[in-house]
Amino acid sequence: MVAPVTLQRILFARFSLLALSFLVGMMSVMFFWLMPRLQDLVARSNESLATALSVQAETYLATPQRALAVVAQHTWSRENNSPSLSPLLEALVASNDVFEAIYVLDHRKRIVHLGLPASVKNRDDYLNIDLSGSPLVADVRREKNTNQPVWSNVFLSAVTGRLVVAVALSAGANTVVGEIGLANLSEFVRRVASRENTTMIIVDSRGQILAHPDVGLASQQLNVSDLPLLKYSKDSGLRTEVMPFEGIDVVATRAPIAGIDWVVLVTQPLSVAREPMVTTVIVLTIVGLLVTVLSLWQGMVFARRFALVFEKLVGTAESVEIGRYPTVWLRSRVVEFVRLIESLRRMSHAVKEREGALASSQNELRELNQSLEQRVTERTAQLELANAELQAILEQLSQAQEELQRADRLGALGALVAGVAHELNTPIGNCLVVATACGAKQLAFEESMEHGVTRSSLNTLIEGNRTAMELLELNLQRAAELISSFKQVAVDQTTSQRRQYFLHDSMHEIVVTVSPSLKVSGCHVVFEVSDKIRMDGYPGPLGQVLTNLINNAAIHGYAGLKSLKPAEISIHAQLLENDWVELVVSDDGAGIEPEHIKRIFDPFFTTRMGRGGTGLGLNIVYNIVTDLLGGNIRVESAPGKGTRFILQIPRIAPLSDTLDRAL
Amino acid sequence: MLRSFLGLIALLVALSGCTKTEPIRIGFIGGLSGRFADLGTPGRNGAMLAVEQQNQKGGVGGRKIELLIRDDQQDPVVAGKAVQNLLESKVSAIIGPMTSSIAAAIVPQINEAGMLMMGVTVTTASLTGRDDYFYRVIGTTTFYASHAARYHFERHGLRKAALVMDVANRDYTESWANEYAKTFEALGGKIVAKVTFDSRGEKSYQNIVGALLKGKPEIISLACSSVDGALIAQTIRKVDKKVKLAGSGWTATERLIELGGAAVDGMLVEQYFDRFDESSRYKTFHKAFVERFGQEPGFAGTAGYDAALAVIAALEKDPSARVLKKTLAEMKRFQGVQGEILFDEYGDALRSTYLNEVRNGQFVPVK
Repeated sequence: MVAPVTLQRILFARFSLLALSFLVGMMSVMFFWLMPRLQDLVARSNESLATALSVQAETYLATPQRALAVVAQHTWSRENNSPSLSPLLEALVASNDVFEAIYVLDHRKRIVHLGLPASVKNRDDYLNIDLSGSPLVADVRREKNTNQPVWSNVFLSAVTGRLVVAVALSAGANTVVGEIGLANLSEFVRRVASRENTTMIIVDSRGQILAHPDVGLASQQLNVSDLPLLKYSKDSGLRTEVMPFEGIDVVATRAPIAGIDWVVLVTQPLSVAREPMVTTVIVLTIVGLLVTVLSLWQGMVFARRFALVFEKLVGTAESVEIGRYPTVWLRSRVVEFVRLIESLRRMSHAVKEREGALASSQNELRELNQSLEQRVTERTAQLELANAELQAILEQLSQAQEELQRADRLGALGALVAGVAHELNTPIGNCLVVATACGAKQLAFEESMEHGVTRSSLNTLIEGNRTAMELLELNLQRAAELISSFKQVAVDQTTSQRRQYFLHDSMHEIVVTVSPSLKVSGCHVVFEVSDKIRMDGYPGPLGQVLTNLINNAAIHGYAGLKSLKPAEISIHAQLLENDWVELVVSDDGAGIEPEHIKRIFDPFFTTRMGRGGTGLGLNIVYNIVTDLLGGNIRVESAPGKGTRFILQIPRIAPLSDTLDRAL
Repeated sequence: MLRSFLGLIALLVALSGCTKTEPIRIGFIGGLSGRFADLGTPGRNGAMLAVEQQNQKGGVGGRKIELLIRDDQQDPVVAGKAVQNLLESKVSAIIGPMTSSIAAAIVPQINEAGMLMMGVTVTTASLTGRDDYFYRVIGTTTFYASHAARYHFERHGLRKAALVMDVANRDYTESWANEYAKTFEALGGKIVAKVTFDSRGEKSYQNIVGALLKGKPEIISLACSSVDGALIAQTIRKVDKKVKLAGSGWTATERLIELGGAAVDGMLVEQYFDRFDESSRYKTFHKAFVERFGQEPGFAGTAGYDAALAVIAALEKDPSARVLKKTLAEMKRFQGVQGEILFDEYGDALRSTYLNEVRNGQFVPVK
């Protein structure tokens, strides 16, 4: 993520960039456009000066050339043996400040006429001297056919012993020569190039200086042919260059002199020539720098002012944030700022209002909360009280239930005892009848014995005793059998001991036990149980379950049902695959109303309230099956279609500590 | 921002302110104007050429050589001032002067300053055999003059000689003339005239020639500058076509032929260098000189070049001006344009002399 930048910095950077761009742009224009033009201007001005000066030099040299032409004309028209021309030449030299000597050479290149300045003595010494070795003569010889004036390079004059240049003109076989001292030429260039700092130099074809404002230098035969400017061919016209010359850098222009193989060299010190340029550049640079600095400063001030406004607004916003609402607001002339400040002010106002509203509603809420808490406390106390009351009631109820259960069990026991007594009543009654009949017969026999015992009466007594014995035995056996069964049931019912038993045996005993009481209601039990199911558990509670279910069927299914068909209660048991046992007790009785089915296992639910029902029978069944035996029980029934109780219990009952509670 | 701006300024300053190393300055002194300039200017040109060539090769130890040129105008007073000026300009050595008289005048000055001066065409015997700061690339006139005298006497069978001397360069001309006379007379010849003149003042060549010819010499030997030599020869030939002419080394410059024309034809001249040297070293130098100056170097140009070469060679060995004399004394020899130049213990070069004759406007070697 890019690091955040301050507005001040951004603004300053932009301003600086702008200022620098301006500076760079200006500098570029200066260096790449203005400077070359100014330099060109300098060169052009130097060139025009050089052209003017070279024209002046031409003019200056043209005068002696014309004078010499007159002499040549004069010489031409005369023969050699004519009177000496020397006085004429003398006069010419004297009248002319250019020539130092004028002489006429004959065809052998000897001086035949000679004009010298008045200061020179012994001028006869120079007449007739041979100048055939002179380089000037060689030049003239070369140019002979053209009849043009020939200008020499610098040479040491034989007649004056000084450094001179000479112009020579052919006049038939003769040659007219005018020697010009370098001092004169130097004086000329010093005079014409009078402009300060401008130096005009004339060099000969070898590059040797022949005219220099400093006469001393001119006479030193300095050769400057190594200057690049002098290496151009003589026809290359005007040339301008910047070069080091005499120790300083100069702007130099070479200009040819028409008709002469010389070159005019006009130089200006670079510093002088470029002065206007340098001034321009300096002024522009200063202006540029000033503008830059000013822009930078302005940018800084501007950026700081803007940043300050924002800083203040941020401060205001922050104080609003911590809840200190400003009373005095910032003033600005900038429309955007004014709008920003105004909106901030309005926002602050709105925040403040909303905050007030929020605070008051919060207060209400707080009060409401407090009263609510109180009410909750009150209600809780009330509830706790009710709870305690309910608890007490529940305890009473539980107590009552236990008592009832106990009473029920006692009731069941009573019924059992009554059943047993009734069962026993028949055999024992039979025995009593037999014993009474037997006793009566005994008495009758004893009476007859006093009368004599008759055979027939004895036989009758014995026959009667035998029959009595048989009857007694049969009935007593029956009674013993009954008691034995009762004893087993009683033991099972009172001792819920865990043991292994065969389901068939256990159920059979129950069925036998309850059969007598069933007979009263005209029911009988159909018993279909495999005798191979070996259980491990509590036969007593299971027996009670069965007893209760059978009784239930008898009482509810068939009570008051005066049907023609026999009332049948069937008991089926089978071993399931998962080592559980399914026990089904069904009847074809009245069935159960649908609204009663849900509550059938609830304690104290009875349809026979007040008529002998406690409403606990099925509840006990449910508790024993689900708790003690670890199984489940469900009922399928509809009114008029009988009832099926389906029990499923594990063949091996779970170990349980709930036995006591279940009982 | 500010930093980059300062950087820009620094760059501009760096671009503009390329520092130049201080050049090595060498002075040159010689007669560059007036009638002796035909010795001075080639001498100076020779020195200039040597310096220019050395600078093109990169100077000495990376430093450019700057040649400060001073005109002595053949005037001892002007020369003294010029030397003073050069000393103040902190030159490492001075090349020059060209003439013996000037040398004689300024040698005490340079000895006092401990400034090495490499004479170019100074041949006076009066400076010989001194252990001083004056060195020279051309030997003394003793040898040259006696060689010429012997040649004139023995080869040409000349017995009567007349001598002319320019007192403007007395130290040279007298020394030369005396040596010539000594040898000539020792051989059995006779000096019939000894004429002196002062080229700086009024002189009449006709008078000089008249005095020379009075004793009917068979040979006239000139100890003067080329201009005076040429004009004297011209004047002699106006009246005497037969007498043999001879010139000292000073006289025998290029100007002699230019100004003398037919008059100097057949003149016997001594040369301080081998004008007809075919060695590639000389030819290279000759070509460069002519290209640069449009003139023949002559013996003065060659000697000027040699003198500058000697100074540069010593400076290359040790650029310190103070020990330059010692450096040269240790070097003893260096390669000149025309073979090795050997300095004796007094700093005088030992060289051969060459005799030429002027024929048809040319110097021609003679046996």
